[in-house]
Amino acid sequence: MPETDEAVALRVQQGDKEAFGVLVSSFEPKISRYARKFLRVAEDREDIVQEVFLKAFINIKSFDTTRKFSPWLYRIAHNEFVNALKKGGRQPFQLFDFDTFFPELSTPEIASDASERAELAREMEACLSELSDKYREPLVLYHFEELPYDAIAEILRVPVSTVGVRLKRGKERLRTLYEAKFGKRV
Amino acid sequence: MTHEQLNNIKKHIVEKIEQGEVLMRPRWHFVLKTMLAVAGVLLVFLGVLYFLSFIVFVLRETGLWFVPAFGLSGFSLLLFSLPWLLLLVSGICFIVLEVFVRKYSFAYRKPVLYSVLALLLLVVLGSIFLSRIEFHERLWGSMRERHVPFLDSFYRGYAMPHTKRVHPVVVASTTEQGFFAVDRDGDSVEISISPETRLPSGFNFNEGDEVVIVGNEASGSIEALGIAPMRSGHMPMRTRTQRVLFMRTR
Repeated sequence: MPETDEAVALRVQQGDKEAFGVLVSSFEPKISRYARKFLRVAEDREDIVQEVFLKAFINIKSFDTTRKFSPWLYRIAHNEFVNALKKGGRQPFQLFDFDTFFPELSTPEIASDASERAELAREMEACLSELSDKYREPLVLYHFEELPYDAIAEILRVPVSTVGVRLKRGKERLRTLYEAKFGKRV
Repeated sequence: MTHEQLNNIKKHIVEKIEQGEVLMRPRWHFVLKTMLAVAGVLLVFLGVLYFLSFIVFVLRETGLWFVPAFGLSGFSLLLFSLPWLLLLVSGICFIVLEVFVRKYSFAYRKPVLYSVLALLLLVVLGSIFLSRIEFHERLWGSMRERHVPFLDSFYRGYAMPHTKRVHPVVVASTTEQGFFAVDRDGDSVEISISPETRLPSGFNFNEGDEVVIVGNEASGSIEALGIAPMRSGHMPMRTRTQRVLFMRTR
């Protein structure tokens, strides 16, 4: 039975520095893809991904090994990416996000069928970069990283119902952008 | 990102770790950070609690708390005399508290409205508790005894009546036209009651009663436009006929 990420993280916490290489190997492609889809611009992307893993190593002792490792790492990545966007002046300062203010009816997590996924993938490839960060990030985490709602909620630090609402609105906006760009309904 | 680039990233990270360029932070660092954060949240919470209960204390001490009993004019008087600076400071502290609290999973997993309402409830309950134990009265009392320089003047500046139309007084003796009372400075003032004076129904003045008078003061006497008791909460105002009958019986 392969060793879990949490077990590897525990080994790192106990001083086995080489074990961190195992975590880097398994998460590097995922974090790099998340960066590629979320950050839009290519500049410094490699450095930012590297920084994510270095921060994870520095703070590994704050990780609670009874919880899942991937949301913890994605949270560090999210913070790094948001900081990079802020530095580039592409992220407006927001004290409160009004999407998280009022309780909303939770949108159930529904698995999309193959044709819908293909359709959405086509739209995402074409228009994802034009979507605002607020809607782009949950779409990337859900459709590319295949993370469940509760993990996305933990990474973005928003209620689970807000994840559902953002995904729904994100898809709608993506569709509008696609139609405006290519002049055809999907 | 190519396979080669991915390998480069891993190589760089592992090299930096092996060469000791990056070090793991010890566990106590995170424990200390958590403790400081909790202490910060607690401190801001106590700050909000202090300011909010102080506002209530100030309003009660100056008699403004009781003027809404005089209807719309009472409300507007309260509105114009509110300690806006203290309210602003409390509001800022509350926002800071909410921002701090949102960092914890028990708060960010729920909509902002829930954490705001929960904090408001805690702050209101805390203020009621401080009011019940007369926290500010005791604090000000002990400061007056010890002559604490800044805090004494701070309390005095806010808690002494600062509007010329609202007078918290203690009834000293009753007369044909009204009563004599002692104000917060210990000066005697004559209160004149006319049929136009708004009075709570079922309220009889007795020596030692704490009342709030609304009216303009001129050379030691006040033509009362309204009188309300200061400790027993709001009472329904009398009708004009009841007021006339009340005046005739006095």
